[in-house]
Amino acid sequence: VPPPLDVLALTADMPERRLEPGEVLYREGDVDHATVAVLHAGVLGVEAGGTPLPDVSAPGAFVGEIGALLDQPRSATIFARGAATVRVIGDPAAFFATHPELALELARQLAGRLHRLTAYLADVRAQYADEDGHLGMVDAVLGRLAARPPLDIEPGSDRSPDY
Amino acid sequence: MLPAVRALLVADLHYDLRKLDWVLAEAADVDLLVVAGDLLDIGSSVPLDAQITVVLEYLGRFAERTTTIACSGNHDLDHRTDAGEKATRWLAEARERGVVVDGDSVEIAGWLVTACAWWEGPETLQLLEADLDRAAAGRDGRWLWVWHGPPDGPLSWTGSKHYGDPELPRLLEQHHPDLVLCGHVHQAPFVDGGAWAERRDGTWLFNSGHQLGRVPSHTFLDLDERTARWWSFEQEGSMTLDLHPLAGAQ
Repeated sequence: VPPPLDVLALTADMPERRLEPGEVLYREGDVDHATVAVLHAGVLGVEAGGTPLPDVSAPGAFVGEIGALLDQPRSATIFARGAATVRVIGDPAAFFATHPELALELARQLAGRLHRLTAYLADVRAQYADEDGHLGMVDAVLGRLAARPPLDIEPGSDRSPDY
Repeated sequence: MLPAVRALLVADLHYDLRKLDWVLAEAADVDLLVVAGDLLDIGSSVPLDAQITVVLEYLGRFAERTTTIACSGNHDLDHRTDAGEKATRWLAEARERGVVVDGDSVEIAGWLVTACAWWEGPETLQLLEADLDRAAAGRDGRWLWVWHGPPDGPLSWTGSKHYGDPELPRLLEQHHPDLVLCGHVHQAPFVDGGAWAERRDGTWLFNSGHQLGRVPSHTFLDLDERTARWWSFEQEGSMTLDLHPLAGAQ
């Protein structure tokens, strides 16, 4: 496995943004996909659905990439724990198309997360295989989720939009 | 003599895994499981295609245990037709797992049971009416519809507003089903002016409502004994169904 690329070195020319303690970088639910950020210094807090998630503290970590890549509303609120600095990548699709080495590093980071999630779930699957409820179907759900092509879904009703 | 048919009505499960688990555990003890729409939750943080994958797995497992019928609700819509109307496509995948879904009917102990799709406009309403016409042609006994949105009345009352289906009364007059099992309006059984059951001409309609917690509010119906028993954490109710005699019956 090739060593991780030095993302900070490769993004040295990108504009930096200083965040004051508590300042929000991305807010959950926002549909602004114009940027992806790379953590330069400091620690970023993460919260989704009112639940705190692990901080982002590794310099060179991408944040905000899922909403940008999948054209989905921001899935979490990202904020500065203390003073922090990020590098901002505008027009992410065009940027990654012209910077394949950074696209590869982003893919590596995403693959690492996917690997950890899958390993955890595979173990849940093994340990709860004889359960009758949802835990007992994690195996089947994982298999189907992995095999299912992405769907372009337009949710909601025109006839009953408010209920 | 026809065998007893014990049916369970749930609706508005809205991707609540604990409620889905409860239904799975109950499925083997009933002869007919009715899931009257809104299986998905468009307000959830879980992407809808992931919700669909999970719910299809549940539906398949329900159908391994009992006859299972499911209709779409307004939270289940996933695409636009060529005519520009919202519609539900994913639920049809459950057919491969043995689930009776939108547009399909099944016969069970003298009852014809039909799943009625949520409609959005003239095109999807026309398709729904064609499904009902086709099913009506094969009817020779009792008829049960699984239909997400109840008509304006006590089953559609939120306590401040009606969210009734404007087309259902006309179709009830046209087809005279014996039972219509609904959902959609969560508050109806719990608020003044609302109800979990309504008799409209010769048709009984039900809406079990929606409550927080791991057990969905639900209704058990014995189609042979003609009884209905509604349950929620806060309230319960039961009644006898005085169904109209069948044409030609003595």
